Amino acid sequence: MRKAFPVSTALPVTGGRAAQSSLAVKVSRNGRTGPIAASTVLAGTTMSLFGISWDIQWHVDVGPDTFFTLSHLMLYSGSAVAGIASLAMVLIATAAQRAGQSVDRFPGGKPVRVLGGVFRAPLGYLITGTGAALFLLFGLLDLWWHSLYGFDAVLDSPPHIGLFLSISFSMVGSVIVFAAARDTRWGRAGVILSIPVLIVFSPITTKAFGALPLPVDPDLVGTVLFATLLLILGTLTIGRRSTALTIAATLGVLQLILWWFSPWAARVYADATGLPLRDNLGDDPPELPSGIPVFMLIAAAAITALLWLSRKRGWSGRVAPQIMGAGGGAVVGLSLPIQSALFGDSGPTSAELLKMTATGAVTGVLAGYLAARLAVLLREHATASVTKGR
Amino acid sequence: MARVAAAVLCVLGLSVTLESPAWADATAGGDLQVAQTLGDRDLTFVLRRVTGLPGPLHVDVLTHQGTAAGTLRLGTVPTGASADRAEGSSAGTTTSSASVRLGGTPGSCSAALDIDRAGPWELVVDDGSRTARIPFVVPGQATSPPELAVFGGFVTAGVLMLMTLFVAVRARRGVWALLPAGGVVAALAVAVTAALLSTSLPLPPEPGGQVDATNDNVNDPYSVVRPVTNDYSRPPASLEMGSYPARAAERGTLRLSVADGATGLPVDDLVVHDGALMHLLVIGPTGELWHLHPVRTAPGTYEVQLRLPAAGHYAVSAEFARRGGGVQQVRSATGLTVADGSARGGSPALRAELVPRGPGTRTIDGVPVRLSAPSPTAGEASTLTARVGDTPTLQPWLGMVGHMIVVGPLDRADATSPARMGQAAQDAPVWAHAHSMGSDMSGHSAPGTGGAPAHDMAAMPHGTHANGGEAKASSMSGLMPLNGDSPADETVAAYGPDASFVYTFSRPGYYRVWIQAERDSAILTIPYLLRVSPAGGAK
Repeated sequence: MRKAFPVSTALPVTGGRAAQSSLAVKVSRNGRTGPIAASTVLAGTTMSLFGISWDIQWHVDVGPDTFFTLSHLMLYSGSAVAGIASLAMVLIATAAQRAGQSVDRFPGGKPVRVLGGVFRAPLGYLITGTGAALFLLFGLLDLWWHSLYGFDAVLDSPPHIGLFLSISFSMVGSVIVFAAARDTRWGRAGVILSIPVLIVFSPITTKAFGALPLPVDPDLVGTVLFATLLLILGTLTIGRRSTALTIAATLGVLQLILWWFSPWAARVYADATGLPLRDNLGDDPPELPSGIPVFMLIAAAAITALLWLSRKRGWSGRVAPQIMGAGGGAVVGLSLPIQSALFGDSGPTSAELLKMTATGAVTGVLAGYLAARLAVLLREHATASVTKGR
Repeated sequence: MARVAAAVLCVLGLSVTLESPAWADATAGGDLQVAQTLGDRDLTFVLRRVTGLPGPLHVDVLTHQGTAAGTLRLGTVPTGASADRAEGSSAGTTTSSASVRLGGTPGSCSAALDIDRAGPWELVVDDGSRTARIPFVVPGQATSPPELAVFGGFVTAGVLMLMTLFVAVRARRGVWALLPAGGVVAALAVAVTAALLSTSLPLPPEPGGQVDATNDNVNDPYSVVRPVTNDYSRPPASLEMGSYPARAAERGTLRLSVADGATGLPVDDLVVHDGALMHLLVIGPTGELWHLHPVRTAPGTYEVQLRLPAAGHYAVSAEFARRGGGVQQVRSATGLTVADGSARGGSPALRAELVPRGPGTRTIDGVPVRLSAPSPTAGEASTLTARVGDTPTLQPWLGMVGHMIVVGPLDRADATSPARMGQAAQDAPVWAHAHSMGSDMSGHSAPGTGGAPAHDMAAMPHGTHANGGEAKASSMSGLMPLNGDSPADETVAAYGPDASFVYTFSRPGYYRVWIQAERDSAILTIPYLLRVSPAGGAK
């Protein structure tokens, strides 16, 4: 599918300017542009993740906000950083087209034509940039919501869910950007770093369904779904045997860092602003990091084993991902009640364990099904041949 | 461009402005606790925070031992002036009402009233024979200008980002895309700057606390009237007492008028401080102390029902706080003189357990009380610690674990006289009112502290000197409101049993001291006689 030679997509509007003279062309041809832009986007989304973990911990440890806190600023700046980096890449891509350059091998995913545009822009950066812009727009809705309902508004208010979805979009964009460069070392490293960020963040959105009378906590189902889906997605996209385990280990490291960072930042900031901590704080674990599945290595081992088995036995591609998903999902589902018992909740009953394992397996089938199809899309959009071998 | 912008944002976002001042929340509004002596009843009204507009105002009426059963009629009246004629038109009319049945046993009775707008309000309480009007402010939801700049900046950046994407793929000339792209950077700069400054900007004057509340400034406290000032203080107020014709052992009503010291106009800007609009202290000839909370019946007019048992002179003082100013203590220059009840003849003897004594252990109303006051010396800070009962079950009365009223110095004859204390108090140079938030934490940790409900922090730092501050915070858990929370009310019986007071007696001599604490929903008033020795001299 990779183009062996550049097909001219020069448009009639490019005029007589020589392609070589354009700064945009130079930048777009520079091999370092891809990794720099992609890692800036990842830095932005990671900032958002740390910002939200800090903010949630701040609300747990200190109280409601009466001003724009630094954790909010971190959250917003994260989106701004990701948005500006994406914007820059879109501008460079379109400027290169104006200069007569083909962008088929431009880093950041398959170039697509949007809004009836004359030029094409890389898919990954388009999604990241749109997500970041939407996030900033939802800020207005959030301000309006707080002006109606006050500062005590809950985590699952509609504007908050909109904000979380937008950040998730940006994070999905960064996965697409890195997956497009999976032939390179930085691309693969980026996939392995950006997938755990998305695994941690995406279940927050499922809190939107928390008010529904469901038999299982939708937050837990979301955790199983996204953890399993993204683990398999990463594995199938990179296609190496150790990928699942590496992603799970990265997730563990991220969890440890957040576990330390969130309460630390909340306390330091409370000190700095002269606000006291709540006086009924126990030794509860940090809110967001304690919800990240801790036994992901076991799930990753199960998925790796099932992947190995499916290749050895030659299972059909139609069912193998679902089997991998069921195995991984069951492990994650089973582990969640055990994990919350470890962190101070009451011990789970065997009925609860059974229920969560079954829920995990069913959710995992869906996750596997989706992951296989999404992985195909990610692999299709690879455009990194220009940087291959770096 | 992306890298530079990212680096700038990171640096800005993470450079924690460590010197930014405290910005504890004052305006978001906690619960309002107001003690009222309404007729024969001592009641505490807790006006819970109004969390949404329009929405309910939950009022809890807390009764004490001996509060008569009956029904109270509650009503809400908006009182705020407004520049908008339509909005101001309903001022003064009752917009909602409810009734509360008080039971015979101490406890909490609730009612819900409707509040339909932000602004100054009055809670009107009618017990059938008199009406108390409690002013309170329902805060509006205000967004500060820096907050608007932050959100405005980020939203503009978001819009311009989408616009840049659109222009980038549509415009034939690439230069056009730089226009909205530059706007993105500018909007982000505005937002980040405003966000970093938002904590350090001063708050506007608080309507109802620092300046008079109107509908307009409650809804938008940031519409600051120029010139801005930091000094909201007002002239002192004078207190005039009406005539008190009731004789000994008869019920009588004492009317009090508060007038502005500079204009003579009625003062209607008393704010709730220490859980009441006005604290009235009355000391009778036998040395009995009343700590009452007159009800506000009209602007500048307060009244309280008394039943003074003995004939003789009663000294009176009041403590109140005007809006924008500190607490003032006003002593009546005349006091009250109560004539002998014709029928009874002769003053009733003071109950034996109310005779003042020195430090030590005694029993009041069945509660053992131990006062320790190690050799108080004039000019030196003395620590008086009262252990009221044996269990940590004191209730915060007027937001405090304990109150201490000090009158003196007196000579020995006056201080011990069973019939001349009122006149002696009238002439005493010092009346003081100290508060206790629990036991003394400055020295070794006293056993039996940690009255707060058991939690992890309470168990941890006890006895460790390095963590003294933390231990203190836990033993008075809930009393000092944090970050806009509301303080614990009288239904929380979890404090004490030690109540420590630190007070510096200025001169040697005899002092009458009353310590007050609430236990089992009864206010205990324990009288003491203290001898303060001269500084540096022989005892």
